[in-house]
Amino acid sequence: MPESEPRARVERLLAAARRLADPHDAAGRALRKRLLTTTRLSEPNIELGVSRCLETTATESELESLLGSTPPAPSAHVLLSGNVFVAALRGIALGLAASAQVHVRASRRDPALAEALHALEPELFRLESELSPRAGDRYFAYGSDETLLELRQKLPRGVWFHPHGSGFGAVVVDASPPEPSDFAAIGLDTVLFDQRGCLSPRVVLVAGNESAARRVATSLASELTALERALPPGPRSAEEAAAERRAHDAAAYAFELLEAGRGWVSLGATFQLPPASRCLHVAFAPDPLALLAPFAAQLTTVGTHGKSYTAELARLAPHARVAALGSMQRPALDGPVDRRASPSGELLR
Amino acid sequence: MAELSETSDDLHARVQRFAADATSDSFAALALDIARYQADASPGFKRLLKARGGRLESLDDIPPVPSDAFRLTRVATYAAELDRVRFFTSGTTGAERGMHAMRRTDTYEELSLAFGRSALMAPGATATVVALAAPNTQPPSSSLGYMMARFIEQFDGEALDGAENGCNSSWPGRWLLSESGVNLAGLEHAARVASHARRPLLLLGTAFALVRLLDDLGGARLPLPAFSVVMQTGGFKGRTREVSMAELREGVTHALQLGPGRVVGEYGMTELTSQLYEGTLHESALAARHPDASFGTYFEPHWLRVTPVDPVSLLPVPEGEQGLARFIDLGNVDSAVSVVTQDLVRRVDGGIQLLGRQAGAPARGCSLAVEALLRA
Repeated sequence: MPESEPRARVERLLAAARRLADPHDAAGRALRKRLLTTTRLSEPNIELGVSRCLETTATESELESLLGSTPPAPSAHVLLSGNVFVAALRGIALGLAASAQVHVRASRRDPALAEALHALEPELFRLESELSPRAGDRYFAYGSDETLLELRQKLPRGVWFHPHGSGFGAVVVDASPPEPSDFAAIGLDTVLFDQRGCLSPRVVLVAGNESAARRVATSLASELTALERALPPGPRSAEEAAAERRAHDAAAYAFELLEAGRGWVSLGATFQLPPASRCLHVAFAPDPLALLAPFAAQLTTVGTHGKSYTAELARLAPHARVAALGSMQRPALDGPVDRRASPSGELLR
Repeated sequence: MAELSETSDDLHARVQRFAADATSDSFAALALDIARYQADASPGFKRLLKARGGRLESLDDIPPVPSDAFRLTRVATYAAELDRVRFFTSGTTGAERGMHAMRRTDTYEELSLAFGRSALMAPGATATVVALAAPNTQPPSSSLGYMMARFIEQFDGEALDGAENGCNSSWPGRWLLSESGVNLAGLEHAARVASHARRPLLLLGTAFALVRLLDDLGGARLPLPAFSVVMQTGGFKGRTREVSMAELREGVTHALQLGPGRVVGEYGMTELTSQLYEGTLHESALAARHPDASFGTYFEPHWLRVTPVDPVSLLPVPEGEQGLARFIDLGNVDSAVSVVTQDLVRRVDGGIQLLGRQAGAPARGCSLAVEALLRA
């Protein structure tokens, strides 16, 4: 029987996650093996994702925040996408915080984590092939913005909709020169999950002039190149290879380009979103946040170096999470990872 | 800068001579000379060339500039203050629109007129010309609109009515599309003027404008004079209901009472100087060179070469296979002589077939797609 208390349900889920994170546990080993076929990430990247980014604990205040962010409902439905694989846990946790009756549709492409959690805690939630929400239920949906828009139109009236669409992460570097450990941290945030996540940094904004930005870009290119050995990229499809070639050549024409293993780092005075394939764009300006302003609505998280930019970010993108470098992919389990939509959801009418 | 300008002017002159006389030069030699000039004058192309080996000995050595680059940056070999025209790609937001600037327009005009005439008219003929398009902005921002205006001036040359005061491509009566629809009365008037002058009507229109014409006619017919021609170009871009090109061609042929082969497809893009056409108009010079030309096969002029290339290596694919369209356009002296797009093409019977756009790589996570950011 599912626990009647939201806190207990979430804690049971976290306990299952701890088993999965443990490489000595048979369930943890099985998950890792399965993720190799479902994620198309390299083995070291999967290991790092499981050991570093899978939420296995939450502080008291984080749990309070998670539980408080999710109003109760007769049933909760969780539609997972072929996403950064650890994201399934938070989606299910939000469902469990809302209801004892949780229905989960795992990604067809990458159901590994949802199924592994279900295998350990079969009574906590039900895995479904289709979700059938009713008025009053909560519906947590992960996917592309187009998919979510389509879904929103199809859901019945009276459902509370919690969409989680696509976004990007950024790093802001103030005028003080970063240390080698800062570049290592940005590199790690970038290559985790092969940069597929909405928290993954794609742009690095430097407060300063071109030469300061070039130093940052050069160090980041070295870091990404080195990380390619330690955390090799996963295989890519023909379509991805073609898109990367096109983006590479366009960036080579438009910007100064530094090769960085399979990816690259581009440098320019303007904002540009590079493809999510271990690529970064470094832009510079006296006020780097001004470069971000037109894209603030898509910004999910900001890694900061030196100055925290807290007040400026609160004005520019109040929804964005602010993280220390190296921790952009480890947001606290305190509610939805993406805060752009209201945590109380949208009542569909 | 003055030296580069002289080189550019020399290249323009060579291209214009080559367009008029294909024996005056060699396509490969001209393309490579333009590429070398662009490597000297354009830091962007120099970087791209360096990233791709730095060699310029054969056509395949010229790294094609992705059409996306026109959106990311200025693709030009000279300073912006020398721009004579700036043509923008279609799109609804500034960030989404690419720009192709030109320092001089005579090469663009000569090339478009020469090949347009060979595809849309009988040799030596004239026509009454109107456009199913909105009037050009000032300064002009659409390369298609600019080309249509030149067609009106050069292929027609006579006033559409007394008030026009000679042939005037900015005369509102020449432009028959507005937000409220097609000016059917204007089209009927143009047809009468053409009939009276015993000339055919050349109607220039985008696919979406032609759909609008059919919608506005509501099943009625508006017969055009004998030997009239419709130039159909572009897609729908979400501006109207979408119909297949075959269905549209059939509908237009029926509604305007045209003979077979008289709706002629044109393919052009802002990033290019040159255009391609179908060779279906039997009395045209293009059809004479390609007597077996069928619908859907587009022919390039001898100063433009379209090659299907592998999407990753960007090298030519084996004969008969489909690939991304790589254009080597000698008209692009001051921008990018080689451009690669996401359009898929296959070479057939001396021309190319357009096979649609290459699908983008499906997103594998919640990372924002570049295209999505541009739409936002």
